[in-house]
Amino acid sequence: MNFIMDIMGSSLIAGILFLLILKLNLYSSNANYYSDNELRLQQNVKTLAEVMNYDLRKIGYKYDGTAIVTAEPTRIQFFAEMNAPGTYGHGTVDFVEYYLGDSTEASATANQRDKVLYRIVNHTDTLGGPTLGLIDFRFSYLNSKGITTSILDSIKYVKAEFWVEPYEHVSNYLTNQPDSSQFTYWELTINPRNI
Amino acid sequence: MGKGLLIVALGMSVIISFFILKLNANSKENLSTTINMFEQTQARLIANSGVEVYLERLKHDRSMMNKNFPNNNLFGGTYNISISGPDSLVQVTSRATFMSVQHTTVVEAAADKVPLYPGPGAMYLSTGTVAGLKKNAINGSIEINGNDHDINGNLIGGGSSVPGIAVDGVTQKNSVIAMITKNTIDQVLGSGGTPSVSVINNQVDWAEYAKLVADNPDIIIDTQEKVKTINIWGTLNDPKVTFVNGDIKINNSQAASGCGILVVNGSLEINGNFNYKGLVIAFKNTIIDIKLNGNAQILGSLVVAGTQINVDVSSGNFKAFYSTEALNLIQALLVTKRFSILSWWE
Repeated sequence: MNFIMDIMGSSLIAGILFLLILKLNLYSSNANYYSDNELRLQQNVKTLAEVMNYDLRKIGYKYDGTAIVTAEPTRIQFFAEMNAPGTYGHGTVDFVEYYLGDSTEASATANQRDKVLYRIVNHTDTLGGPTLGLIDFRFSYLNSKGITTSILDSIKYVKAEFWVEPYEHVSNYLTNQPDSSQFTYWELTINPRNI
Repeated sequence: MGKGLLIVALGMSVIISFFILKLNANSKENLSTTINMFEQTQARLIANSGVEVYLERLKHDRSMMNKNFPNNNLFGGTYNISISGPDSLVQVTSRATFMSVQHTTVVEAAADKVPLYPGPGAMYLSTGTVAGLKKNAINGSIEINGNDHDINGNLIGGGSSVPGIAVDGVTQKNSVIAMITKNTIDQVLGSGGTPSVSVINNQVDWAEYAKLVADNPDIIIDTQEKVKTINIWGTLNDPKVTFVNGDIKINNSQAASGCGILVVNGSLEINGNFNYKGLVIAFKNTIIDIKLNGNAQILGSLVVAGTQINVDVSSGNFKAFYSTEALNLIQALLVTKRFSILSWWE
């Protein structure tokens, strides 16, 4: 009888331990995935910020006249020499355009809301690239006093804001529903020195 | 049973350790992403600041042209500067390094000289100065002459004329005329009849101009100790920019003469002999107080854009003569006020 009780007791404890390990494994997988996603978010948003930071600072470089041609919330067009001094191609002013596509263009990702940000140089060199989880993008334009303006030659600052989500939503550990609360917001205000 | 538990406990510890290590690695990577952005920004700011610093230095020291200046320290980073080109197209390249992140800024600039603005009359009184005029502000043996004079103070026949006293508006004109009429000053000569007090359309910000001109003066008089018995602030062969900054008095046992541009910011009280050829600009909170027991002559133009002017001649005389010849002398003194940026790569 004691033997049976020992077997049952140890089985119960083993079962509890097994469940604990299973739960711990599930939890750690979820947490790992969440953490990876967060890291990827951070890296993606930094990549976008670097690209923006690099390009927007060139607005008007080596161009006489009103450098910004279009100033809309999701589209900007401007003239600038994009090649660094002393590098191949330097000396010709480029026409650069940024605009935000819509979510149907990124159907391969599980996230139905992500969009592609397009960068077009001289009307031909189109760079769409991956979405990087970008779900929204906003430009705003400020004059020298920091007031929003739509007058092209009054623009002294360009503010870019972007919202990035993971490609695939993480399932909530408790509800098992896609958790959409994970996102990153980044904003940068740039004062292009050549305008 | 004990062994089993030990194995299970060790297994769980290993799983938890891996889990924590993974999370820690992600956390570190996340942090390094953020720090890298900061490093890039800092490197860019150091490079940009390097350009600003060296353009400012170049303004005062043109021998820096076509030279390299490596290993400058700033904000915990370093930057190397390279300057090349003629004045019309100066290229400054700044390569900054901060925490192993590098950034290059290339700026093209053109030297921009201070323009010559001759005074609009033998004496110009700004609106602020006229508002601060006392009833007997200009009193005694005084001649203010807007007709053109040579460098020795002789009238040039057929030369151009400007107002003896130039002001900004009709109200100011009436105030000045009322004061000089009351004090029976009949020697205000020049264009526009006698007394020659005329309204001019002043386009110059004299306070700003004075600051530009006096940005890098040859002579600074900022303490009373610098005023000697005989003071020479430039000669015809060697005109100077003199900046009087502070409350300075030239008493009746002292004398000052000079040639070039004299900028006054503060209170200048003149009792002794004073003879200046060129442009005199008083600005900001300047009070020019001339209480003569000797002779004073300003040949060129006197611009008073400060708070107050008092000319009270008890003995001796005061002369302010317009002279294009004297004003032309100062052209060479006008230094590079700044570099206007033509393009900025960052």
